Amino acid sequence: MNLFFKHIITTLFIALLIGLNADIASSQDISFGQYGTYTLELEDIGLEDLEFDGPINSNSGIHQVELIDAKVLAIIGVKYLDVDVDITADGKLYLDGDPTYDSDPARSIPFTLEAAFANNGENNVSSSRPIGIANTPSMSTGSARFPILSRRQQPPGPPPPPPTGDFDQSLVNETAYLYFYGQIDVGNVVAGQYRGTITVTVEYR
Amino acid sequence: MIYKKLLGLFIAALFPLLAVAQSQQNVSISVSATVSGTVEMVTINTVDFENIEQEGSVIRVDPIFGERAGKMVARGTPNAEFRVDYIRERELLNLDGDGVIFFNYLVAGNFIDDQETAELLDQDIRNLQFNEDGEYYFWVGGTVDLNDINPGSYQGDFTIEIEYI
Repeated sequence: MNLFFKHIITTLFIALLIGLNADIASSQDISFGQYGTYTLELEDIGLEDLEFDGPINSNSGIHQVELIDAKVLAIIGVKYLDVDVDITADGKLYLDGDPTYDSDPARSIPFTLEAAFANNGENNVSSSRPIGIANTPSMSTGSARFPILSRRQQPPGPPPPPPTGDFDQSLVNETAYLYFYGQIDVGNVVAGQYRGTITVTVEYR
Repeated sequence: MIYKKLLGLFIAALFPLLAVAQSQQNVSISVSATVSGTVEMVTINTVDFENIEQEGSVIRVDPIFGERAGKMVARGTPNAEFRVDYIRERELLNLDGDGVIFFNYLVAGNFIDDQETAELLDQDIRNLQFNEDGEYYFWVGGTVDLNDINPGSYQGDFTIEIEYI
């Protein structure tokens, strides 16, 4: 009898574990990129910052960097794989880049980030699409998911062959582009250099 | 025995999660803006032509070596670059009657308060830089030809424009 209960418990545990495993495996959202050894590069095009050009005077209001003048990053990876892009930025630029000035309106400038991506193989802002950014006073965040090379309204093709010893990724690489721009609202602030940071994370979906 | 099997199954169940090896890349972008302050110009001395020695009809006040040169100090944002523009020839009007004379300004500048090492700003537009204390010094001199002019007291002004770059 005791042995019978042990078998029952074992069966229940196995059923639970298989159920757990089946739940993971039954997802319709298959992430091919996660199981390969594909590489992904994120390149900074141009050495400049996202810079609001001067002269900027105190109390001068809105200053804008337009999309056409955006800071550009290049994502180089397997063209038929999707990437997840996560963007986090300071909601303000701080005097001398010091975030302790966060609550000091005389030493911080509100910064509204905007972003876009282009995945048609060309570094061309006119074909870019906006990335939704949630801007709050303390932080701006946004994310996007897109294939390195646009499938141009076609359904996705069959799963790619996994990389083998003969796989040469450079033959299937393509470049997508990220654009960062936005505006600052300059209030009654002290003169000096103001800085903030945008952090961009890209990974295969 | 059964617990070992269960442990094995549990690890096997986790395996699909552990096998996820992702290629992830991070980049930080710096965002920057330079806010300029206001510029204040203070005149310390005006150009002094009284009882000056003449070389023929021309009198000259050297902005670098002349003791009679006018002196001004500009106060702005420390280490900020700025552009200077001034009109080199100005009319001086006779306050006692008819007549004008043309005064050709010569301006020298230095980021330290030292006239003799100042640099002649002989271009119409120059890019300069405030010192660490946010100061820049100007010495103003010039030449004027007094040939064939009516006697009287002549007066005009000197305008120098400073803007941040």
